[in-house]
Amino acid sequence: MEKIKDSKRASGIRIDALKRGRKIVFFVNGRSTTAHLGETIHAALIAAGYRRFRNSKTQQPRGVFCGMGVCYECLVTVNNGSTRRACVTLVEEGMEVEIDAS
Amino acid sequence: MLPEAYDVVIIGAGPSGMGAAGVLAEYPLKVLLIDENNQVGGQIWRKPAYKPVRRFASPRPPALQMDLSTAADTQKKNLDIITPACVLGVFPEKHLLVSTADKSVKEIKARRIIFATGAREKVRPFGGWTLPGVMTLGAAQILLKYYGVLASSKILIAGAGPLVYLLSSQIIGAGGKVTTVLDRSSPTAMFNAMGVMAGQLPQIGQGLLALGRLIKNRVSIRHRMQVVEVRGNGKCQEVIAAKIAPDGIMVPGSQKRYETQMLACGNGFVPNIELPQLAGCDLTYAADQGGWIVKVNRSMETSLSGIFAAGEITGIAGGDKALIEGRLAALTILNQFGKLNVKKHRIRQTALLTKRRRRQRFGAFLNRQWAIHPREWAGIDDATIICRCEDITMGTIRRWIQEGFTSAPDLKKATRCGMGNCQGRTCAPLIYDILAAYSVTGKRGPHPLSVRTPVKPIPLGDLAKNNSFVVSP
Repeated sequence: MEKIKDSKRASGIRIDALKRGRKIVFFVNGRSTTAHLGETIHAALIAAGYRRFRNSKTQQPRGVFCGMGVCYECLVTVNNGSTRRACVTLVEEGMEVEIDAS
Repeated sequence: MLPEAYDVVIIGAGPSGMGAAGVLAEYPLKVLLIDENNQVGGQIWRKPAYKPVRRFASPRPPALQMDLSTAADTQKKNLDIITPACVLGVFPEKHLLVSTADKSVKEIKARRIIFATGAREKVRPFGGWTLPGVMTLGAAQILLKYYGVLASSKILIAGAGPLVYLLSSQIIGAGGKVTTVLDRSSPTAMFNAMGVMAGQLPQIGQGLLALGRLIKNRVSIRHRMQVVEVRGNGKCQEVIAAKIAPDGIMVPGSQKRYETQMLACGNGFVPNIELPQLAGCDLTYAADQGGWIVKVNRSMETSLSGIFAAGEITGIAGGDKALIEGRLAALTILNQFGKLNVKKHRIRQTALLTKRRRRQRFGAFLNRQWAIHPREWAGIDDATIICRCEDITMGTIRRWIQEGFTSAPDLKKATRCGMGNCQGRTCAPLIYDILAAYSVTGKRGPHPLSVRTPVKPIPLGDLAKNNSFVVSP
């Protein structure tokens, strides 16, 4: 089991019962992060220990909620432009993801 | 440019859509199956992103496996599948506006439409339910089953229905730890369920296996407990739960505190009726079937000729009922097209309708189990957010109800609840419950929020890119 250790974040766990896709690197607020081909952005972010994805209208922290494209709580900015639902968008090699983790 | 034409367009590739596609693909018809997700299968049985090296979740039922392979086999023949694609609008004469992954928007014309748009999860709101680390049971299950990710090494699970136990068992099977299960229903509910489920041995077996795994792993199961608050500094850190009496009142002094980074919770499902509603299909409100549902006859045809609805949108009762209804809709279409003789159609229809009734009974039982008691709403404090997109609180909603805004559309205009990105998908079912709880349904009776094209947000650039269609207001 690969545990991500980071004192600032809760640990996310990739279980070992699956034969995963090839390892790729993407960027979260400029920080290089490992993911696997075939993962959605939300799965990669959660596995890397991120919980807060954005701030709401009144600046409250939000993260993954429905996980199936309904609630729009997991919106992230992808490649300096478009806003995407992290739970239905696949992560790509070199992808730049901006989240409001502050 | 002429719109692409199909004999049948099926919207949604879950059990009902796959069931319909499986039947139709056997015949020389031009059929299109559209789904918003990256692959077919819907939320319950979609293919995991990776192959398991060992089993940790239950395999998909044989019936559906067959339908999936049928659909895959016939892909080359008469069945077109587009994923991910989103139907943005439905216009007269069965014209559909569809946005696809290549960011283009196209018009598709159908002789018959089957809406098989499924359901979404409902969560009873509580203070702090918007905090990161609080997610739906389905969200936790998708992360685990399809991507092999546990959001935390320890997870607290709360809610009602089979998904609570299924998810708990899957988490344990994957090597995770379920700290506690907070089940809203009474301890006797499970035995009652078995009575309703008589004749559905596989489901009973699956349920017992899940429960057995929980007991074996000494997971503490607390009944009649409801999460009333989540606290934490910018994220979920502790969960407060309380006992809810059968009359919906919180039992004083019953609060318990649990430390957890991650809470998965759910209170059943609500039908995704937006597209059929936009098409103009008649709806009806049935609390024991999940809220607003699409009216259909025995042939699965809606109030609009040639437009069908199948699965959770005709009443929440699970994947098996959805599969049956998808097949029923397909049979009717084959009959209408003269591809099936009347006698053959009758026999198959009667057999399917008998099975359907049994599932509907079980569905009604479940919907009653996880229903939020009307009195519970009084116990939700003013600061609790109801509309997550616009951050509209329970207090604001209460105030406007007192001002006389007694229908969901009126409340939306007054408060902006339901006007955000999700277009009311998360809060509208809660608003219907709140209005019912306050016994105010307005002069017109219960009324759903209106839906408009595009039913899901789409970048304007995508729409602008394609100017081959003219949409009249």
